[in-house]
Amino acid sequence: MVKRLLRNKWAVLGLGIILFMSFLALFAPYIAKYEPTSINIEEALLSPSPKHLLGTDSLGRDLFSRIVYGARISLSVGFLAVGIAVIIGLILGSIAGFFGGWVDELIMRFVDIMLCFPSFFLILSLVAIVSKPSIYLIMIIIGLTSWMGPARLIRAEILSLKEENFILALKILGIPIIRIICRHLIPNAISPVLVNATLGVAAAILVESSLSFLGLGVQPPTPSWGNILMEAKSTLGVAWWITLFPGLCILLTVLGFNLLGEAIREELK
Amino acid sequence: MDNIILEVKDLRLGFPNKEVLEGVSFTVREGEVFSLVGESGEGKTLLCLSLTQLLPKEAYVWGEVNFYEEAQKINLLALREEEIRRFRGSRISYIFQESLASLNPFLRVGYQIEEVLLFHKGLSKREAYLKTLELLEGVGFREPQRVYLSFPHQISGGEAQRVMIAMALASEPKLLICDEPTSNLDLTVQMQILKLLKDKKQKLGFSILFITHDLTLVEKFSQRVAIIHQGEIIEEGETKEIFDNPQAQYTQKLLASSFRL
Repeated sequence: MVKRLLRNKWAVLGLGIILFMSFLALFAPYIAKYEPTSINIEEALLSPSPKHLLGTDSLGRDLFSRIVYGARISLSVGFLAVGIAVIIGLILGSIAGFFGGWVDELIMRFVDIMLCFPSFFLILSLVAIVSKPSIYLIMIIIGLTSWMGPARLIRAEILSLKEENFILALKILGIPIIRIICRHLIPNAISPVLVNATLGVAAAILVESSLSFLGLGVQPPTPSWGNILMEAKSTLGVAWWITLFPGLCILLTVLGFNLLGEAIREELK
Repeated sequence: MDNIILEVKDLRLGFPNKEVLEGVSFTVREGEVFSLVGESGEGKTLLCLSLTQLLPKEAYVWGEVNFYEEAQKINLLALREEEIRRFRGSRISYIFQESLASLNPFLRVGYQIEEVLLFHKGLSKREAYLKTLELLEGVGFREPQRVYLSFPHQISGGEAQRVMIAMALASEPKLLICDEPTSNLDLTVQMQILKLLKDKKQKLGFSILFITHDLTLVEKFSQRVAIIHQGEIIEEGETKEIFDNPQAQYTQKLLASSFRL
């Protein structure tokens, strides 16, 4: 499957973008020439030049450095939030699918309830409850509000898989139920969740950016793509680069994950 | 040789809207092959599943299933879930008709045999690996390595049945339940599989409860036989006697309609 994916040009493009952004994030201290938080008022609002590749913001901070460090925040929020969502989804979904009956009913109705809330507003209100949200809290909150998709997918897969003969055979061989679920059911049911997770990373990055833009996400001076955008609002008329580049980064990264996710989905068909 | 290993007493089972077995009793002795013969839909498979409490939730079962071990009598139907699980696949093992479908399509064959060894025998990874190769060799594979690394779709139906036998014997069971083990196989492969089962039985000394609708196999393979018809056992005895001198009308009909070698 990996081979066929590599022949799909959209998948390669998506993967390339993701790898590039991950590279930026991983090696941020080596790539960025300046500290992302070091203020230099004398160099405020400089347009892109060899000295400041993407220019500087209203406090004279190097925009390129800030974007590179921002990639760390955005990507780690994306991956960890989805990780949390997938783990919760896997556990609840497989329990619901395997045991059925009232357990299934209970879990799935809870899923329905969670799905009723417009998720962004749910996140907003949760963030508002805690006055000073840390980045980890944001990951957890995004994770806690997006596990329903994976849970439904895994449940549906397990519902059909558990009727297979080999599951009965395993029961007959006396293998414990937990082991059957973890080693035989979940690996066979994981592929649609994989697609969902890839797309989910893109969604989580967007949510983080939106929260930060609204000032409810990552708190300044720590740079994130969202809060760079927020701070750029006031200087939009004079310094186009401060909004353009972080915006492009969000766009490209989300696009990358979507392309890859769609390509995997096509391959799995 | 005459020690009883399994005693089924007045077993009734069925679903709320349909009674399947109406009081079935038989015994399986140590080291013998005991056949249960009946048409499709007589509940033979349900009977097998009921022995280790694996019936679907909506089914009911009454009666006694006694398993004898070291002169102790254990009523399998009265055991709790965690107790009965120690019997499944260890002291009582199964082989089914759909052997290919009984293997997890996403895992290498070898790993699946290993799993039984790891779980029931408590072997280490390394020991389990070596034992698996040994088991595969024991069921007639010349290149156990290749089979170990194969996925289920890469082996044939006959090979899959051998793998299932290796898996069933991995835990050195006292009783092996074979539910139509050869129905989907070619005649020549059928004979190979039966011969393999016979050899293994001689070597390891387990008993076989053999479920089939094929009388030719019964005649060749088993010492005693019981005929199930309409939810009851209508005839039971030594295979030879029943084949030479069937008492019940249904048995006579069954014998007359089967192709005898």
